Amino acid sequence: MRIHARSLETLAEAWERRPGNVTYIGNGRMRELLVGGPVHPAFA
Amino acid sequence: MTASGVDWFSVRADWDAEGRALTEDDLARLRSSRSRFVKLSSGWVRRERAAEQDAAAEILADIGVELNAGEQRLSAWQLARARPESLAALASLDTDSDAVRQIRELRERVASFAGLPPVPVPDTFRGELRPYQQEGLDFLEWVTGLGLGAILADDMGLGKTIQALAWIEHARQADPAGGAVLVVCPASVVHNWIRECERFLPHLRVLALTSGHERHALRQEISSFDLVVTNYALLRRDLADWRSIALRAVILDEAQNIKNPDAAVSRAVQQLQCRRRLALTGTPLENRALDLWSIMQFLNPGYLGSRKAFVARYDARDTALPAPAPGVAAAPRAPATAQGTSGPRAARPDRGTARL
Repeated sequence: MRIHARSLETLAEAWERRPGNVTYIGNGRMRELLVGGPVHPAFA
Repeated sequence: MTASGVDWFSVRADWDAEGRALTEDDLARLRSSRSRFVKLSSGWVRRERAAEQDAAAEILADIGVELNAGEQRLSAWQLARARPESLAALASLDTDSDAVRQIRELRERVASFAGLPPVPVPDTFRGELRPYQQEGLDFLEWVTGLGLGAILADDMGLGKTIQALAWIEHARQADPAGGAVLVVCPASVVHNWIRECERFLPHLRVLALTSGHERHALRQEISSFDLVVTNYALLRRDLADWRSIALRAVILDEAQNIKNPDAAVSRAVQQLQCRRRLALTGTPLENRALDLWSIMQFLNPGYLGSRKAFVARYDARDTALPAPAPGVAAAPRAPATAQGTSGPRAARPDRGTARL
């Protein structure tokens, strides 16, 4: 799928309206992008 | 963040999103964007990342970490005085759990402070401490045990040297293999230190490094001594060698010798590698408030803030010193909170005794 701002918005809206039993969409990268999650300073 | 095993932590903080580094330009683009998703050179990123990172930046600023500035060194007390919520947030990040445990322990020790724990005078110490000297020993052990440097500012003649010797022996007994203690003092009192050692701690292996070429050979044998005494001028001259020697502690006697932060000797003592730092002086503030800042910068770098800010607040010319600020002067008791840990403390002003 070609990613652009509009398609990402559509995907994000679909994710927000997903049925309760849907726990997965796209690949890991897509999940991270849609769901967010902690972005943190990487301590070494 | 990783614990050094001494009194400081190595910290490195860089931004990343989904495994990719974000530059300041990236963050600026995210902040200014109206779209939920923003395409950066490295790929698509959620706009909220900027807000999340701003919140993390707040935490980092509180503990004194600069972003994208490579490896930085933070002292234990610097971390311990951070806001509890910052520390909790730090623990939730990708942080060495041992480092967080050490910081928590330090905070708990400070928070549970209920008076200076009495330190037994070492049985090998051939002398008797007066009550205020015993309190001085307790103070030195407590403060240095927290990883802080301390100033013993008793008036001349009250026995700063004997208190320091008792502290040295206590530390030596606790960790016999901890290395030598270096005493730096004016040339005129080097032999006074030797005499006092012979009197109170005759079993110590003591080396006086005075002028003469033989001192270079002697310096190579420091590991076989418990106490080494040298003077400020020689320390400055031999700094290149001193820099590579790991010391148990450095004690600056007549520490007003480093009252000028721009002086070569003041810069030299900063470069010594040691686990504990003491300053002995009857005049920690000889001419101006900056004198104290300079000494404290050796003991606890950064504790009194930047030189510029300190001068602006306390050392402006033609301006009387303002009333003591919280955490900086005349704390009512020894540290009850991490913020008050090493605030200058007038222990017995009526007797010319102060411990800072």
